[in-house]
Amino acid sequence: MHLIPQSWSHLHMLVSVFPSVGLVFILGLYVTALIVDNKVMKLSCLALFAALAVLAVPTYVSGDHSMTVLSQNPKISQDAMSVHLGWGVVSLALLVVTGVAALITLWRGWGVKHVSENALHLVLGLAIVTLGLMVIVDELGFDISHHELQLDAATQKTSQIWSHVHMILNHFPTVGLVFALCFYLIALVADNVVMKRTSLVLFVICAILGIPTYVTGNASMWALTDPEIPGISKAVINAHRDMALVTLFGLAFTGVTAWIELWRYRHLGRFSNRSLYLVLTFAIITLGVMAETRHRGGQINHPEIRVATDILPSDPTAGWSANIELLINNVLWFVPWQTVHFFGFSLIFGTALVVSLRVLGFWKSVPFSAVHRLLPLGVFGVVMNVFSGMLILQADSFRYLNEITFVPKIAFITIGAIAVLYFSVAERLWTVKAGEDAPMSAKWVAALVLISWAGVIMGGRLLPYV
Amino acid sequence: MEIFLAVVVLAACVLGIVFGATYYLNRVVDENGRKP
Repeated sequence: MHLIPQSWSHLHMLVSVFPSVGLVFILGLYVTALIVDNKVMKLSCLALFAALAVLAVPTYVSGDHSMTVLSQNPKISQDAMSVHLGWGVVSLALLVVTGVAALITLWRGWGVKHVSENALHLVLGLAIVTLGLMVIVDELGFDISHHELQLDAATQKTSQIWSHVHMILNHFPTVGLVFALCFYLIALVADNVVMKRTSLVLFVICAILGIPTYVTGNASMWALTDPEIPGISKAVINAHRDMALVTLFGLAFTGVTAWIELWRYRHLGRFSNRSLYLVLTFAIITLGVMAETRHRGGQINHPEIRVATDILPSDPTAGWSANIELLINNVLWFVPWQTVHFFGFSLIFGTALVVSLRVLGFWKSVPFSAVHRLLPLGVFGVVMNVFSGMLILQADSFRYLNEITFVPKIAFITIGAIAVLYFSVAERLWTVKAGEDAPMSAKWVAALVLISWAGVIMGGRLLPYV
Repeated sequence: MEIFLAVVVLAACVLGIVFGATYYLNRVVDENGRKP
């Protein structure tokens, strides 16, 4: 497998996702910087906007050359490419304008005490409009080579919506990790506490997004192989799945160590350098594994990026995933892991219930910091259940993924896990002492946490029956 | 009998790690923690 692009199409696929997905993450960081009014963070985001704008050049050049090559392919629609190009040029032009505005704001803000609010808001507005255009461009880009998305839904046993969602979702933990790493490195060099905490939050979010990405990937496998689609090989998908499983574990290690550091910071008021570098190590290793996973994913449905030296797998029964499927179907493996899964639910819901009820107004004699200490139990419960849940899913993934309550279950896991992060980053909530009421915003989050995890349990329990 | 043993051993190992890690983290806070 070659990771370094050897064709314009390959380079275009690789580089074109960075401006759009990168904008989502940098916008998130930028809005955080504006809210907490952290100057170093604002300037770092402006620099990142400018860096994104530079990517407009390779994105355009690689796209233009790809068009020349792909125009000789009868399976590719010229109209689809022309529409993608038109919208793409407009969005890239706006990205460059955003980058230039960011660079000017950065230059004017460097060395002065306050950066101009108007200039900061102008960059924000430009970035939001650019992101909106990029969403359209990305969708039009998918239409060019992903013909499976246009298949008649009546002929499909598993909806192609899964494939569509997987194509969108997989870029968030992957590209997101690149930006989180860049931001984290700046934070470590600048020794900025807010930026360190924000980067750790980003690592946790990337890890959480790894769960729906892996699940939608499993569903896409069924959508692409049953019924079979010419040109798509189950063996190539399995090679991608194997690496995706390693990536999921890498993300889990990165996310959990990052979350522990956020949790410890709340109580200790300082970071442990050893832990911070441990997070960095996990993130770099995960990024390496992820690059290979993404490459194997691209091989599934993009024959244009394959080169003569590529030897693609041909045995659909080879690899870890196929063997895990066989193993977990043995009752001696399935039942113990299912038991662990139920213990995990108990830990998650028990912890979420106690912490959320305190925030909602129960047990006011207990300060929030006291119930906050219980959170690791719930977070480790989530890790237990991601691991056991992924194993259980492999036992009969076609059936689970096509059950009506599976989608809400996964959506609630994602929402509930991200919402729990709030308990470890909210400043006002942390200062709620014994006898004091929590802020209203925290109560809404607590309600969301409870509803989400109750939804996860109900969604899971209803799987065999609805 | 095999399943019973497998359930007990796996659950004990996983829960042991989880509770052990939670205990360790909270001990660190007990020893070095600050009041909010």
